[in-house]
Amino acid sequence: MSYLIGAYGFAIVLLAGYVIYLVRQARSVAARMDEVEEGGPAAG
Amino acid sequence: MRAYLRVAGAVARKDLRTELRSREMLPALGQFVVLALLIANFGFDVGTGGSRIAPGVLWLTITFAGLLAFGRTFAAERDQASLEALLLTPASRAAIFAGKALAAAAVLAACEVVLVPALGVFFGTPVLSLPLAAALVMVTIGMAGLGCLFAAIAAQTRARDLLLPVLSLPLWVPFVVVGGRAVQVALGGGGELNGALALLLDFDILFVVVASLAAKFVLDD
Amino acid sequence: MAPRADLLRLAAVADALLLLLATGLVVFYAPADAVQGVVQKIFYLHVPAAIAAYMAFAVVLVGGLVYLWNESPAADRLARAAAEVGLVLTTVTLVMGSIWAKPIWGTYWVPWDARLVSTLVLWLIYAGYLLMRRIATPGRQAARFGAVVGIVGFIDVPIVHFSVTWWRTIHPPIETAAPGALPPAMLLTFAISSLAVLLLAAVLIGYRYRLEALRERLAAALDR
Repeated sequence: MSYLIGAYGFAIVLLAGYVIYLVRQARSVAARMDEVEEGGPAAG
Repeated sequence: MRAYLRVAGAVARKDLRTELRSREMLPALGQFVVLALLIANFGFDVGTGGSRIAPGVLWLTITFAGLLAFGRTFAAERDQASLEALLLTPASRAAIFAGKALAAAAVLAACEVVLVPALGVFFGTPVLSLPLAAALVMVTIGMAGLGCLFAAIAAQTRARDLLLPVLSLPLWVPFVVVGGRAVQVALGGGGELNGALALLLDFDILFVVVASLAAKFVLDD
Repeated sequence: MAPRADLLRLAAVADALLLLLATGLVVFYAPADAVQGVVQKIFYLHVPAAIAAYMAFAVVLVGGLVYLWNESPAADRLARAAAEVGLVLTTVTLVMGSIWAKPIWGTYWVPWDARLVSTLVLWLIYAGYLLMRRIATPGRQAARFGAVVGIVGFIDVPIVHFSVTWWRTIHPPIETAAPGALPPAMLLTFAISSLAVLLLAAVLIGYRYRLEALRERLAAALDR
């Protein structure tokens, strides 16, 4: 039973971690994009 | 086809002549081989039977010597910016690649000429063994084909020393698995050798063809 | 070419529900295996993750071939996205398989199992692919290198599998629990979980693709 929980636990943490990573990356790139589009030359 | 062979031969001769003139890589590789065996001599428990661990030592040494040798073939050209000059000639990319891979294979083979007797001295394995020589020749050809393909990629990026082992070693696994078995048999492990050699020949053909086809895309611009 | 945001969101929501259903089936519906006990339930994520990873790497292969053919940046972006998702799924496969092997085979790692070794090599190849993509300066050359590594790597994997199988035939055989035909309840659970994981892989690749496209737009905007 502990093997089962360990295996699924690892998989869920890894996949959830990857989803969180994607979301955060997407947010930070989108925020940067807004900055660049609004700020013009100020955002070097 | 004749033009292809002529270009490949010329490039291989050029590389080997440069090496013979500068005498940089071969002495370094020879020293590396002896040092690797010395480390293995103390790292492994030789008391349990030197000839049983010898195939593994041979393989570790060959793969890492191969990385050194193949890495240099393109890195040196890159440092002197002579790769660009070579690529400006109308010669086909595949022929240039074949020439460089051939020279690299010859360098690794020279390294094995040091390795096998040294292994005999340190681990008591047979030195003059036709099966061993056959297995090593097969393995060297295939490893050089794949290794030079990734060396060409790695040389054109930053941090090429990091990239070459990471790309080459996983793809060499078929050679390590089948060649490893062939070397074990050749060094007296018992078993049948012809099947392994035939398989290595198949791998050689496959990967040399694949690497030649891919060379065109790797050696562009 | 880019997947539409609303479609992607719809797929993500549908997949979340599907994953929930699959979890319910695995926990409450699928019977414990007569021989292996509950540990066998690792199979419901382990195998679909492996299938999805292979499909993702097949996408890398096709993306690479298309790129070499017409230099479409979209094909390369798709290949890169699929390589990363495939690597995550391969990690899931490897670790779950290793944990399963401990109680069933008595060891985490069996060097003569062709599937184990070829999955590890698969992982190493695409980890190398992604490292190369990070090191190489983005552009046509990096995309071409990626295509070559993606294609040659994909060719290598079945050969590794074959090599280890060959190696094993000349070695003392080992006992493995041969799975018989699956009872219907297990089959249904497996089918649903496979569907859920495959859709998850597709959704992740879709989002990863959009992220990559956004990054490229940002880089282009910064260049101006």
